Amino acid sequence: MAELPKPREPATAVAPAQRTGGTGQGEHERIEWLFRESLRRRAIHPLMPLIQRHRSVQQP
Amino acid sequence: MTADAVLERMRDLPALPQAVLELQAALGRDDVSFDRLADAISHDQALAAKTLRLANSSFYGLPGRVASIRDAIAVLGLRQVGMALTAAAVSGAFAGVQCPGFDMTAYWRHSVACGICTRLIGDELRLDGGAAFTAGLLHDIGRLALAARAPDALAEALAHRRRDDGLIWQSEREVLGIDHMEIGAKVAERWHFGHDIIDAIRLHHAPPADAGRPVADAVHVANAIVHALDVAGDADDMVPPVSAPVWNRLGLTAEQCARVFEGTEAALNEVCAALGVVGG
Repeated sequence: MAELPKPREPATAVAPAQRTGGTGQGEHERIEWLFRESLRRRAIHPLMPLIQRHRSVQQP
Repeated sequence: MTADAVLERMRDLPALPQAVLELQAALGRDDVSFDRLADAISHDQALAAKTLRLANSSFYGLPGRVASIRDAIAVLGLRQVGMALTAAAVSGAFAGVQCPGFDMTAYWRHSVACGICTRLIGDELRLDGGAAFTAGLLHDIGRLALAARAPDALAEALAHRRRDDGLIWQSEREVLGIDHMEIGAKVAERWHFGHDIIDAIRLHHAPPADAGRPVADAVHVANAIVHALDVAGDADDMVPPVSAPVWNRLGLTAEQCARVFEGTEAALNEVCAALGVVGG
């Protein structure tokens, strides 16, 4: 199994509140928090845009 | 703690109920007596009741129409009843497990969501869906086995993961010398699960680049999806990377993904309630 690179830095921020069913700023922050491993590695995760679209069409 | 010491502690894990073992054996035979099988399941009343609740959930498409284990076998078929029975048995086998830092509610919500999601991916791609739900449900069974038999070791790995803000299986390897995929595969071998389920457990974070294991591929992607859907209730959740070869091989369209996301979220609370693990 190929070793993944270590995260560049430890997380210092507190996890944003879990999603509330809305599509406001907190929702976007939460999605970015969930995908932080890929974002730290500057990798494009195929699910991230699909999840963003899924949340954006949900009613608050 | 060494990897050998961790595996040694797994030796006294609970056996699966006799009814599950009989049903697993029956799945590979042609000369099965459905009546005998139904009797064996019905003798374990708690297991039978849980199996019926699951069989009557909307996830199976026949809510309220299955009154007995015999009906369940007749209406849903042996494979589907086997899935329900296995889910009921495993969720019961680890009741009462406590480990510092290990959130049992989040564990079960994630596992059930992964089972549902794997089956929905299987439905979308016309894969052999027989093992999909079970493989998704049990993909992290190694974590549960660790929580049950080596809680001190798992607590240490969880603390390492929080400090490092990395992936849990990397912390497990760092601290224990073994990860939950390998432990889970050993548990599944002991419980005589099929090779497709054992492969899916062993490979869910590191699927091979070559094709040929569709259930393992589906579990790998389903695991990432349910982390991304954020349904477990874990404040510090994280979406693991997805293998590009596997993602391309499955070839899920945006529309298919949307249906899988919606279906997973829609069925989760009901299936959790049917299994008696957790509600919404």
